[in-house]
Amino acid sequence: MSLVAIVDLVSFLAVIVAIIVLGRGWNRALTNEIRLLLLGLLSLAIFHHSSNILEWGEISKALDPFEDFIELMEPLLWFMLIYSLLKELTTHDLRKSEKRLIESQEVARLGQWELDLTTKKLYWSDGLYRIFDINPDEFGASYEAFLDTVHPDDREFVDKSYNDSVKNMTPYNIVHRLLLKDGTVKYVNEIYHTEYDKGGHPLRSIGIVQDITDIKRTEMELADSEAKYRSMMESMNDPVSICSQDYQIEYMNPAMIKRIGCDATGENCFKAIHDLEEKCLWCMYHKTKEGVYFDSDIVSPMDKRSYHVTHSPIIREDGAISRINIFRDTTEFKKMETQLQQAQKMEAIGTLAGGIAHDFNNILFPMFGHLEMMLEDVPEDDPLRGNLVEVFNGSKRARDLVKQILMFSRQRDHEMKPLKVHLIIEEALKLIKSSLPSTIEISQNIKTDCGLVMADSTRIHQIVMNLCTNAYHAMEETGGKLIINLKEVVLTVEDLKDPVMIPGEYVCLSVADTGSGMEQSIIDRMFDPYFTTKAEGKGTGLGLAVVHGIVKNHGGQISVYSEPGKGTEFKLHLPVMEKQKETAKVETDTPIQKGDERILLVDDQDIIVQMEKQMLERLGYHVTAQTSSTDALEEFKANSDKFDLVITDMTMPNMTGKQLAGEIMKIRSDTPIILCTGFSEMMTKEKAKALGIKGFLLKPVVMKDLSSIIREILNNKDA
Amino acid sequence: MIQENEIIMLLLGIGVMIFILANKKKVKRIQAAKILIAGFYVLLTGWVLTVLEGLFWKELLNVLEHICYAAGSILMAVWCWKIFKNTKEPE
Repeated sequence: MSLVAIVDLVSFLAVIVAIIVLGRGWNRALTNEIRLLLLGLLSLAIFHHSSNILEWGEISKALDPFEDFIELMEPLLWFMLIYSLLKELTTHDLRKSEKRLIESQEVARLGQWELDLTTKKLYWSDGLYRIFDINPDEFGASYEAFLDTVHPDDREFVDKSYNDSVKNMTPYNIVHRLLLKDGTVKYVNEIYHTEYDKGGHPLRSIGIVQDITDIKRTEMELADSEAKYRSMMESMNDPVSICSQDYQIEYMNPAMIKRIGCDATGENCFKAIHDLEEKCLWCMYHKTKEGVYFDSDIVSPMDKRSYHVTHSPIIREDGAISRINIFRDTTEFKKMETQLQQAQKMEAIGTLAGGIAHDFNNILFPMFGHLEMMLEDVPEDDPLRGNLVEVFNGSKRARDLVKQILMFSRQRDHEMKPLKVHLIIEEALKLIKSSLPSTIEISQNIKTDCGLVMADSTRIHQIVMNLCTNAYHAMEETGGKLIINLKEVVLTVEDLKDPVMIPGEYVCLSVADTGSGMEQSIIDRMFDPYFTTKAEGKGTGLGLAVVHGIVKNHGGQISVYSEPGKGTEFKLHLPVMEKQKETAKVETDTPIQKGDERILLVDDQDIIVQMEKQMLERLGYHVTAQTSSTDALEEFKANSDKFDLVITDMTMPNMTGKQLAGEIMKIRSDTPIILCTGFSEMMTKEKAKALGIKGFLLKPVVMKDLSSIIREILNNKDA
Repeated sequence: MIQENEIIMLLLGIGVMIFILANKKKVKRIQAAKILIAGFYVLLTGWVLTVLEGLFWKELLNVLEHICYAAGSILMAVWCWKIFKNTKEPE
């Protein structure tokens, strides 16, 4: 066998193998057309090799006539095979590209449509059917069918937009809603244009539709959020501004616009907000740049008001940092703070005055007692008597002074009760007289027959003090005359300023001075709280406001007449009480009353105990004196039936008068007790009464008062 | 002696080669293109040798011609195997 024969045999077998492989994997690859071409090519090869083998074996020459045809066909089939393979490649690429396009449209939620305006046929891409949630078999594929899917409220707008687009030859870009079968509303963005022939007749419209529901929803949420935060800003009472890093105002809320009087957006913040020519001294913008929140307390040069300002950074997407400033007006708060400090100071003075009053009353009490007894003992014609009377009067003034100090420091309870106003005014004048310089002359004309006024004595005292102090300040430098008048007047409807007030009898208090007087502009504002023309430290601006408030609370009215350089006169009218109430308060002058009952006397100060014992014994009583409350209690325990009355001091070591009274009443509940105190914040007449204590005396006590209360209690007990 | 049909076959083969070279980039993307194109070039060589054997070294060139046909057939078998064996059944 020759080499050629072997080679041909190998060729034949190789082609046979190729045909078997092709046959077994027929459906696995390539198109049918290519597979047939390949089979044809392999068949030609079989034919060719078979012919060679037959020729070589000298078996047959039957295939020789076809050899020329086979040889010509072989390159042609090769061409067709390669061409078909390339065509398949192109088709494959196209399919792939189309698949990518569809996938992209799906991702972008895009759909495409085309309307043939001559045949009125509408083409929709699969993506569009997905967006409209319509089955292609159910869709009419017409412009009208499309309009049916549009939300009824947008239908007219969409139709008009499309027709305008066709008519005006302009592309359109609109956003509208779809109403899906299940009631869902979708937002779509539709972009389309129309093609025309040379004559300008529309041929077809093509467009894309994008589902922008999510974007729209986000936009609406953003708009809602923006509206929410804007309304927050605009409803704030605190002025707010946003400033850029070059100190330009980017935003002002209405409160800030109201504060400065105009919208200064775009202007420099230091000029517009604080009326400064340069950057504010307190500006800490570098801190904001570092992203730090900070706050500051300032007084704006523009309106001289105090503000607590918080500064927070706003970091923008481009990296620029602006600053939001929230101004809280603290002017009133600061004033209240000052007022509170003043009140606390007054409270401290009051506490101090209370303490002094207690000790001072304890000092005065034995002096009083002994003086009274001495005055009883010294004959009327004794030359010493006159001196003793003077000492006694001096002691009385000292007692009154303590009372006034207590009243001034407001340690007394405030209560409305029928008052003889002249008594309070005279008391206040005593106090003011001692503090006025000799350059100021006081002239007073106080009518003592004025009717009763339902008033708080402390408040009336405060009115007189405030008005007289103001008058004093007005005459401080030049001196002058302070004129105080009190009388009862009848006011008619014409005289009354307040329609609530009733015409009738009023007590009229007038306080006039010959000082500097006031301009009308000052008169207009003088009752405003914190308004003052006085130098710092001399007035809080509350005096006249308080006077005005008190007069109003008492159902009265206040008027003022002033002339610059001549002086000022304040006139107060307080309503007089009805006559029947007046009669209830008439006091009677009762003589000193005596008795012979047994009294347990307790006070920790020996000097007081001795004086009081002596005084009570003069009144005829049998007195057992104790300087220790615990000893007194033991005494009472041992002989509870021996005592008809107990008189005890309030402030004592080991056991207070209140505690002692409690213990005594535990032993014998019907024991009458009189509590006597220099001054105690812990005990008042009402509190003592609530504890079952029959009498309450404030030191220093005069013999008449002591005898009177003892008799009143003991007589009531006997009754 | 050179036969007319062999010349035509060679010319047609060269035409196919030119087509392949003209679409070289695209042809390269055909699956197992190197084997297929190598098979074609080997056959084309066989066709060249067929023409040449009519001019000189008849015996030698005839043997070489048949060897080329055998190589071409083997490469075609390998290409078929690559395409139809290595590809998954279409779904």
